[in-house]
Amino acid sequence: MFEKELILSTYLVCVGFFGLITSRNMVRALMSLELILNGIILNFIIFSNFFTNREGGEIFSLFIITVAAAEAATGLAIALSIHRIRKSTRIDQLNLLKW
Amino acid sequence: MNLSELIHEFILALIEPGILVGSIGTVSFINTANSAFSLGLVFTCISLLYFALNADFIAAAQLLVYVGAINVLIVFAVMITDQSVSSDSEKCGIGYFTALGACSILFLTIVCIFHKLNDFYSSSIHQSEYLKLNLFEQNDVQNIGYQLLNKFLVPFELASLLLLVALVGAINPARDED
Repeated sequence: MFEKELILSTYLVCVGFFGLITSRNMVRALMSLELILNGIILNFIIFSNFFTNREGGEIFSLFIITVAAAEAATGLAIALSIHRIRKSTRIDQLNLLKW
Repeated sequence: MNLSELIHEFILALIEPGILVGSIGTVSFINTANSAFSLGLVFTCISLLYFALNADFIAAAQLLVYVGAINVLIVFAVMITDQSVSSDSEKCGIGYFTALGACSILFLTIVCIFHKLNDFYSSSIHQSEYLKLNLFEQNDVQNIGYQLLNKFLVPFELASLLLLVALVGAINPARDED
């Protein structure tokens, strides 16, 4: 009965996943990761709307927002420091630790 | 359909094209700044969707945190890493179409699963009963605050510790050392 909103959240996860695996820029990959996390939060809110006891879905969505903010800040700090050293943010140039 | 269902459908029909177009724009604009602003459009439309789904505290939190902090941070990062015109073409390789095919197969698989589950569960509760349940809401924000300090106290404190560690850990590599 709420199939349309579930399809919307699946679409967000799939588009974010596609952007994550085909992006060559580091900041664009982090943007696609935020899309994936937003799709997941939308899924939680849809199901918490369905039940009358809606505290679990909303509180866990609050924690997902918190963790997403923390990892966005940390990931962008890493991208900035890499750009400062190498003057480019291409993902396939980060292969110093590759065997 | 009565009036409340009609208003609900109308609001959803306005907001969902914004999400659909904005998320495609995020992954397919060549200019990274256009992609960052399109992501801001997606966040705003998702926040309006939470208002329509009776989650008003999460809608306000999404608007403050995602649009106000994370999107601003992403726009800053896009402007500092000054790669607005990517010199290499990301498109039309064999990997691009393989990824497109794999993601569309994943999407169609999950949509088929939802369609089959909908046939099972749509008979158990009717549409009017489902809407009637949402009219008796307790004070929602007060309930969330009460549960955060009672049942979910340990994750709450761990999340605050995580934010402190992320704050220190994000300042340190991004600092301009002289």
